[in-house]
Amino acid sequence: MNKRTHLSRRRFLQGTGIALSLPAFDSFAARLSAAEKPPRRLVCIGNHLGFYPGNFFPKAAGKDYVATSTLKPLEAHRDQLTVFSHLDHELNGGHKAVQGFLTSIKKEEAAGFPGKNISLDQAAAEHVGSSTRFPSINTGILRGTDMCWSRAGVHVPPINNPATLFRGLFVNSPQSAREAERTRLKHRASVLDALRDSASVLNRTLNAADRDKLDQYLTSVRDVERRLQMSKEWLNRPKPKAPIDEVLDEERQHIDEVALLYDLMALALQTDSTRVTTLETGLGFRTAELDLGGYHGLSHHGKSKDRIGQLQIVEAFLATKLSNFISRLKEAKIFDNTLVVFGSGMSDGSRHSNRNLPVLLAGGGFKHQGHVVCPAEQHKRVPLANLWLSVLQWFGSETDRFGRSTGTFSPMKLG
Amino acid sequence: MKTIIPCAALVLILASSMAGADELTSAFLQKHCIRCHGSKKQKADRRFDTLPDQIRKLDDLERYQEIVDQLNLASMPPEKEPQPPVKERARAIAQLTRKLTAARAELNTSGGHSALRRLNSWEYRQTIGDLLGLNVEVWNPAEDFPEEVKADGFDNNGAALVTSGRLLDHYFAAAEEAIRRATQFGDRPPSKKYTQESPFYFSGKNSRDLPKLFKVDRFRFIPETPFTDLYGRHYRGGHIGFLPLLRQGGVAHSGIYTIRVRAAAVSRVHDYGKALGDFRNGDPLVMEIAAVDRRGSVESTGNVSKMTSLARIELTNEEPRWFQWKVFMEAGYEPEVRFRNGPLAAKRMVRLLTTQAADKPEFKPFIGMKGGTEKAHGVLKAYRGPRLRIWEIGVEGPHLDTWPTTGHRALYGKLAPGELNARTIGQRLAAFAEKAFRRPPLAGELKPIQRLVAGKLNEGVKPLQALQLGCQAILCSPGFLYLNLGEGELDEIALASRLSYFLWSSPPDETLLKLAAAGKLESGLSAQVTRMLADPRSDRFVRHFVRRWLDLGNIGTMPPSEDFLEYYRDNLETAMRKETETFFRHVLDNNLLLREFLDADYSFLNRELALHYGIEGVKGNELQRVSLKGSRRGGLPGHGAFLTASANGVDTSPVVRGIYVLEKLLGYTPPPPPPDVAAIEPDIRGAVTIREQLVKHRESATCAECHRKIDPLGFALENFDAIGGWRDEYEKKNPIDSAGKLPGGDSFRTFPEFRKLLADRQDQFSRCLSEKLMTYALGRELEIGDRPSIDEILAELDGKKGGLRELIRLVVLSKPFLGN
Repeated sequence: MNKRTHLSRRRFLQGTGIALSLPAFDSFAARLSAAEKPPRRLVCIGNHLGFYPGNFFPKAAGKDYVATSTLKPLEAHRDQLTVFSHLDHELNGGHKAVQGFLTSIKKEEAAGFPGKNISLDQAAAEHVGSSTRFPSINTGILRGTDMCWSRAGVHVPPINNPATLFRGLFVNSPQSAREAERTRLKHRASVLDALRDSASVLNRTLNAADRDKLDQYLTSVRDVERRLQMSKEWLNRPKPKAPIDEVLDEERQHIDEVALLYDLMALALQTDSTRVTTLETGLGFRTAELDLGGYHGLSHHGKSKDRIGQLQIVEAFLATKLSNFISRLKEAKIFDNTLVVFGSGMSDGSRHSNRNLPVLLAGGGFKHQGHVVCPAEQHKRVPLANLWLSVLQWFGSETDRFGRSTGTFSPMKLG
Repeated sequence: MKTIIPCAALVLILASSMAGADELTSAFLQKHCIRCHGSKKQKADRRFDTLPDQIRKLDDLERYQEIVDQLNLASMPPEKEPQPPVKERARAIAQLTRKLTAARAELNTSGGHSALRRLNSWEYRQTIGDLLGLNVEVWNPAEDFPEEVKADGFDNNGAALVTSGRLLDHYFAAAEEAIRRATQFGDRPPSKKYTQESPFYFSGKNSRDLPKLFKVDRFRFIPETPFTDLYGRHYRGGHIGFLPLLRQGGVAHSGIYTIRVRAAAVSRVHDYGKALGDFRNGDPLVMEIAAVDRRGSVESTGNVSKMTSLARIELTNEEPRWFQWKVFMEAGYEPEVRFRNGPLAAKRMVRLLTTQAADKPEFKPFIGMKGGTEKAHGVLKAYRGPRLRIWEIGVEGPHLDTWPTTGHRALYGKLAPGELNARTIGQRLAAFAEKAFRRPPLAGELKPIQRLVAGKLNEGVKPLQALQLGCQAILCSPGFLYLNLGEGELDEIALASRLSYFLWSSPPDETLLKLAAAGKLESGLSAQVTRMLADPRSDRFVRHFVRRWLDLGNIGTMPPSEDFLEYYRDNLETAMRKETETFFRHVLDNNLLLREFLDADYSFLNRELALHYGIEGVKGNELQRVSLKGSRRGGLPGHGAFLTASANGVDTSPVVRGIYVLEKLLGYTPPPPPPDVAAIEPDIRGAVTIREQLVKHRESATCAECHRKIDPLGFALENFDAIGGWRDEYEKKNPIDSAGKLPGGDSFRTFPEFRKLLADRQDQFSRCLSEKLMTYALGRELEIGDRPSIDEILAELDGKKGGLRELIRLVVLSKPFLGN
């Protein structure tokens, strides 16, 4: 079975000659001992249907831009955020390429990359390991937008029920349930041992191509064992006391659910239950609750003033929720160590374009630059994956590569 | 990209002079490119004189791809340099594209070997169902499994399927739950009878602890009549629950139940005009029996956490009648009766009736009244419009054929819990493993699991639990999860599995295994194919193959916009899917020629789907054969599912639909567009039609090269909107121009003319469908080496005038199927 070493097309074509004209970020300044500094946190917010570029990107570059209608709700945090123009992963496929937002690689291409199509949040979560109860908490509205992917190339589904999230964070299982869980984990570990031994018998009868497939199975067994170990470590530790009333399992409007999920994410970070969270709004987000037409239909604005006007309301709403979230993080005094990534794998829904993506970074203690306009010309573009690599390095990972990155990119210095 | 290039002309070129084509390509590069990209100069670091003629490495593939892209975009040679003549450029592009397609196929070759093939989610689901005797329609063991990787649209490609830790976690949980459900120690549960007469709502003390659905409120009242009326299709005022089963937490046992309802459809013809929204005046009333699970449910909205539709029927009787069904209900579920096509939610209805129908005398006392219970009850009681009227509901069951169930016996044989000990457990594990692995375990394969269980017994784990743990391990081991077809000629046991997963999506049965064990399967294949296609399990093949072939999953990921009200009200998605499945089944059962798919003058519709197609006079909710003579439709291109899956839920794109027709019916996948083409900007402000926007596809020579094969096919279908409804014009009254010319030169002006031309290309379709069936049957992509087998099959099919069933038989008897 040929093991493909798929050379990234763009990487190849850039050859040796093309240098980035923007300053690279000194990744080692970020490597500070955890004992000296509070832990770093990453929040990634995604949206399936993009953001209408005319209402997202400001006209002027730099810090004195006039806020567009989508950025206006974030005015209070203007000095702690940076908007980027002309960044993308050079993917196409419309709806089918939105999943590439945090990965830079579509799942169909994943097999050719050593890290498959692992997403930014999962790469960060790997770095955290079992320091927190949850390596990551992925939330979303409905089915989300296929934003998060594991190293095995498998989609990580979002939790879309706030009650489930609340229970996971704050409700301790009764002693008896924990005993039962401990026993079950013990049995599971024994079963995994038996499966490994049994599989090796089968392995000896297979040819090379089939053995590769069985190897995937054995890697899966190891992965389950590893996570079992992490679960065991946390089984006996009590969860933090719930700082809010219990979130009931009841049907909610999407507009309320978004706010609630943001609140729960803030609490999760505050209680160090996790250091990586994500929120993704799916295609079926009920814009009817804002008295607007169907979201998918609106995104196909076809230049209609009416539809763009309605889209403006949806997008301002999403930006408002983000703004409220940032305020919460500021109140909890964790904003300076929390980097918020906000955007989408689609830009203009009407053209189904995955180019020039809406990208906004906030917090993290950086000296933010307002509106950074990256080169638009074909051969001078900065891969969005380079920004993601810098984010990952800031978070603490020592990797020098992420997805299709060709280097690092961070015009914001650590403040 | 990896399909076998179908065009006869292309085959000739490939077969006769690949070298000739290479020469022409080299000559082109020499003449127009090497000067700046050769030994003397390497502009932008690109050099082409060292490119190999044969593409063997991915790097070279990338380089050639870039050349094609640049030529397509006409950005190379640069504007200031001399340009190659249009024809020459087009030819170079065509040749290079062919070269790339062939190279890709070769680089990805599996050598005709289907690698260790994991059961996909569909197959896993059916296998658990068969192995443990469980109905997996409602409880789907593979419900939350990660989505499968698809190759060429099919999700059973051994090389492409991915196993991950996350999936293994799911397997553990699913196996545990499946074993729990299959375990049925104890006496046969007796059949019980439950009835409830109107009223179905309660108040005061009687309503304590009841979910909202059962409680009187602003829109639910206890009637003075011996019946309860349902007004709309929303749960409030449109659904009623069944108290006797609510009280005991749903039915205690899974099984077949008889459900009876005494009901009538009153006042179907009304004079409330637009106040009743999208309800078609005079329509039959659709009564739906649903089964709901309220356990662990979300408060509000009827406290339903899961719902499944058991039956739908159309009522036209004004006098009460009994309706009865025998349906499967999952343990813990209760029935609900619903007014499926009711006009509006009761709340909205009250508002609209007192505004838009305010002139009606019956509502006079309530106009101007403050909104509240008195007003709402009054309006609903005074209302004279269409209502689903329910007198009584009855449930009886479970009706169980065998006890204990087959699944229980697969696990425990005839043993009582007290008879489980180290010895009997060892025997049970061996028996279960053989069933689960679909073959005798290899020497040493089962030992680790036997040791595991023995160890647990020593630790003091209860025998039943230890055995269940062992069975769970068996259901998570590679022997169960993977189809191991080996290498070279398939042995009979492996053949049995490949055959049963092809035609049944599930394990081989006793008959197949016995034949295989006796070495008599391969010689008796034809008879087995006939038997298996007549078996109801073959419905699984029909359902899944149709779904994957026509990419019907698209409809789930891009659901039609809520603006298409009738799509949801009339339950069109279910009807459309069933139409195409039923049609496939019909062609299969009657062994009809493959061209039936292209130009059948009938289909299988129910009343609502027929109305969607503009056909009146069809009655009832069940699908029935309907003549399409006189309508414009016929064959797959007129099927709602085909047209919806090739759109995006909001609007249509001729390019997307054109590619869909090419891929699904003609077996050709066009190469992707060059990467930096500016996306078209849809403009619905009305000035420009889609045809005008795509003008570049026709006027630019390089774009036209591919798009003349794609666009006409999509334009032919432009009269169908995103849910397959016919339209004569776009929004803003722009006319639809569906005319076009097929690459061969034949032109058409309308969709029926296009259909006729398509039917003439039945050979191409036959090849396409044969290749798809073969791909699905083999669990791998087809290669150049498979082509002779496909040719043989097609020749034989043509000679005998064979139909779909014959085609399947020939696939099973073919060389690729019998080997690996």
